Amino acid sequence: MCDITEALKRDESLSFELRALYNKYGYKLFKMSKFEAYDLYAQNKEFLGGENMITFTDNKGTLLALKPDVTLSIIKSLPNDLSEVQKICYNENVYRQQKGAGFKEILQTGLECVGEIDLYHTVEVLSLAEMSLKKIGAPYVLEISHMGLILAAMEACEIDKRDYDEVLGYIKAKNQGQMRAFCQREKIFAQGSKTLLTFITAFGQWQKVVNQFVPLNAKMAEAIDELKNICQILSTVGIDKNIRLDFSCLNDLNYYNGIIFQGFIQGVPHHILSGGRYDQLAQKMGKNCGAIGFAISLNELDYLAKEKEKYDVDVLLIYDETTDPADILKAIADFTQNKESVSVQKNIPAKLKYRTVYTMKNGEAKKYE
Amino acid sequence: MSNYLNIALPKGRLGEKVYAMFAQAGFDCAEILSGSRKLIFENEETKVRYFWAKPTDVPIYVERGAADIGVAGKDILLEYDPDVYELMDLNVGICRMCVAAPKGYHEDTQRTLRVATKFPHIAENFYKAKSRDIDIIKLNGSIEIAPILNLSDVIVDIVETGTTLKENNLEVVETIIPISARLIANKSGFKFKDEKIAALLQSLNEILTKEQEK
Repeated sequence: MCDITEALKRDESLSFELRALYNKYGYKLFKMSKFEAYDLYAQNKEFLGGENMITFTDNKGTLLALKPDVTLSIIKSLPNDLSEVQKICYNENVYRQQKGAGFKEILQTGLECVGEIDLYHTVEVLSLAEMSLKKIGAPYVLEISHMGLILAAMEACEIDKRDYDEVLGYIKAKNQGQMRAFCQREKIFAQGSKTLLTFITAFGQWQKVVNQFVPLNAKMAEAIDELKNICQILSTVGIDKNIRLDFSCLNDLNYYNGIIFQGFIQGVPHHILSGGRYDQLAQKMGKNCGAIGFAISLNELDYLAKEKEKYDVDVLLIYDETTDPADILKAIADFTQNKESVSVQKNIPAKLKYRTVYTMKNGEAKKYE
Repeated sequence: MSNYLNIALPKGRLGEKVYAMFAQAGFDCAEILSGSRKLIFENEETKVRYFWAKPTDVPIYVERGAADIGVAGKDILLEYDPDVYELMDLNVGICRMCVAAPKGYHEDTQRTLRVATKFPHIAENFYKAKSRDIDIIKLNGSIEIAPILNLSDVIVDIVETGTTLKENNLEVVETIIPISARLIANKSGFKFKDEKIAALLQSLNEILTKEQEK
């Protein structure tokens, strides 16, 4: 019970395991400060899902925020003209407002790959996401979608930009009925309506899904090819078993332009891993390059907590005024050597759950019957 | 626990109607009709577990994964905006979200409009889109009396037949949106119980199409 690995909670040990995994692939750990200038976040509020953040002023009156996100800080820290691809990983607490509730501290682990992103980098990041989910040790699914494909389809259907959010909302909620109604209302041509509905109806194994799309323009064809290539590679190395295509996995169009993905673990009610290609964010921040990355919210693993430990300690050791403290320390040494945990108390605490009780008698711990 | 399909149904008439549809679709659980006061019912054979919840709580059970799927009115979904899949319009529990006011009501556009409602979020969004300044008065029931007692100018509420409005000398001023019951699913549960949910969806679809053809 007293070994370091056993004392760690699953999210704690996992954060080390994941860091080791990312290090193996050449991702360098990035340690960031607890807060950043508020401006950084205010300029990119949609990237953070429009969430509020905790702000305060420093001694010069500058408005600061407790970091709600790590990606923005990492991108900011990089030089504007990247000659090489930068691979960075992190393990940080972020502070975000929960829906309808106060702020929550979330332990995030993740990685970013920034520079001239090619097909290799994309599959490297995806396979690291897949390995990360696998490490959690419960049934999992990694879902892949493509913002570029959806955007191209909306362009081909000549949907008004003001209606993009509505359409994305229906895809996100797999709401066929209202998508159909939307297509009728906006008089979208038959093939276009069919494509928009396919984003909702087609999901699952990639081989089954990709062929259901008929490209309406060159951009769609390009995006479909990219999805096919990526899945083909993942399948060649044999990690496509838990990978699905699902377009309800969506993110903000202003920042994400290509592949996006989410990871689900059985027993956790929402996605635990989220990532994608976010060239537009990098470019908005003045970087002349592409970027792809993901983050895992390790807090969500609380949902997987096994049965509560039956005992708080193995041994409850009772002493009285006559006991020599040195004898107690000696007795504890014996117990802990046998990997038993001990709580030393004068009286039996009402709420403590213990396996056995010992009392100190004549300088020795005796089992209490 | 996990290999069962957990279904949250809204307590009341709507829930009973929906259960009948689910049973017809092959997801029956005879015990539920026994009239017992139990809230949870299981069918070991088909591996489904039903439970009754307060209608406004159904999206919460589903969003947080305590239920894999559930049935909730569009009004509740619009009000709480849960992050769930809205898989199907079940075509039952049909009504509309309306603005109603005393008969012969004439809006005074110079003043802030006082709106009494159980659905503050829906009311706010509706008037925000019109840039109308409003004062929301959140009530939990008997909304119809608010304009009569001059607590509010209008109400935003669900109208099914309009009888309650008529009896209280109110009338519909404007329809905000049509409402019906929707089948919703937890996003994570949907990935891991996909076959069962797909089977249910298909059967329900067939039932609904048949009914529409009638």
